[in-house]
Amino acid sequence: MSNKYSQSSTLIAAQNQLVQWINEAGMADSGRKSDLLRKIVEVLLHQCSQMIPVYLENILSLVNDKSTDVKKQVIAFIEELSKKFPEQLPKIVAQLRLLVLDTVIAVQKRAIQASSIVYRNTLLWICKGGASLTDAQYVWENITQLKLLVLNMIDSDNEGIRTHSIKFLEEVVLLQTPSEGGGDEFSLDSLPSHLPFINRRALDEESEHIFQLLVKFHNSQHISSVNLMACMTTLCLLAKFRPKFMPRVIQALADLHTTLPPTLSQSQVNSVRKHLRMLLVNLIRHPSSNDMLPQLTQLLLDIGMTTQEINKAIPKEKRNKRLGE
Amino acid sequence: MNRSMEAHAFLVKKGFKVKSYGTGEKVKLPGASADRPNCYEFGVPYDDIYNDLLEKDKSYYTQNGILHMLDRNRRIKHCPEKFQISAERFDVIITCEERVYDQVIEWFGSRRSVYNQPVHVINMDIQDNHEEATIGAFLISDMVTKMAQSDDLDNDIDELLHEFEAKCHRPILNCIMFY
Repeated sequence: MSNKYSQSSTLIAAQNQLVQWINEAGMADSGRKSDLLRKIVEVLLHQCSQMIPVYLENILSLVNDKSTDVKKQVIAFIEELSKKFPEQLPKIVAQLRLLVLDTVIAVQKRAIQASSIVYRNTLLWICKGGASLTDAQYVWENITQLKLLVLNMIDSDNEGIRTHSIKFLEEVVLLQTPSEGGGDEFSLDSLPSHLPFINRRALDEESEHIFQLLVKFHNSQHISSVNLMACMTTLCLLAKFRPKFMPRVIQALADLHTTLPPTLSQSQVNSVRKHLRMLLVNLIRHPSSNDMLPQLTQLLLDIGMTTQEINKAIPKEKRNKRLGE
Repeated sequence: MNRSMEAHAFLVKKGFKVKSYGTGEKVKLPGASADRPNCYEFGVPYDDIYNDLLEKDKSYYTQNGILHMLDRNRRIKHCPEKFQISAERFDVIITCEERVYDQVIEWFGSRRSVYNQPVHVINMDIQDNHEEATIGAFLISDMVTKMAQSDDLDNDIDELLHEFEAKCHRPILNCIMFY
């Protein structure tokens, strides 16, 4: 009983502290407000989660704050909420959509970063099946619109926005394609087929379209070296987890090897070549590349690795299998 | 332990939030001969390493500057740390040798990102001796200062590094990876 009493008194103390911080944040300058918000979010998520519905609006209203740091804190809160308390998704998804369109680039980037996590959490929440159909549909529509917004950002004038969009699209392709090897990973197969607003076939087609877009972006002549390397990493990750993409990814990397963008400086060329080598070695080590071993080996020879180095990179069991054939 | 710590000390003095790491299996310091280095586990305090070498051969390790270096290091932090087991996330990672750059990008390349948070990995070759470490720390500080002055580093980094490279006459490698 005393334990129960002490728990409830701790909770009351935490709630009082929350109220005090929230009031204080209302009057504080940007730096102080950001510090207070960090503490508010921490206590709310980890000590008084039952108070989330009460204070959610207070925190979400800060998306209109002048401070970049404060807005980024709100995004971090939305991201965390989508993971720990996905039942709040109907209340936060529209705010995230707004933040993706914020006027401050740093806020936009943080919102795109959070979007891939929120998108995954949304799908998991829908799969769990606890939400009402109206709520699930509302969240789905918002997240679909958000996805289209980010999709168009791959053509942004800002390099950082492009980088973040690439990473977001990587997640979308992974989530919206069937997993060929099974396993526990979330994939298109995990999505329920009975929901009227989810069309698995359309999602699969969309992921194919996005994959093609990423390959096109990867092969474009005026891509920056940083985004080229981000895109190379993304394509290789997709090839690893969705082996149906493997032949096209290897082809894209082979094309890149023969025709690097002409705008790159010598050091950037060196960085890209080094990156290519690292990614190809990672690919050849991965089980999903078993069927493409000859093509990968040829490409590694083309980029200047010796047969000895390549053999060293290939795992023993793969090498034995190759000899057996 | 030499180049990164020199830069660490320099950057801290300038007010940057900085940490330093090794990437190898063990902490290696020159020993009595080239094939017999002194090896320590990451996490062994600089104090202990200092005392160990003091006991082994005070005059030799004083003469080659190792004790002086360890003394500097122990004023900066408690012990050498290993990059691959750190849970921290950084905006920028700077390496002073291509081999270390390779280890860093290999580590990022072999794991899946969880947060999708980008990090710029940059290599600038610095020879592993006291003089070059001092010059390297100046150059790194100069580069980092320029980065900090940028309002939008992700957008400016290609150009910024290109200009810096031309100025410092040292080849730079860089890429973006994700936590």
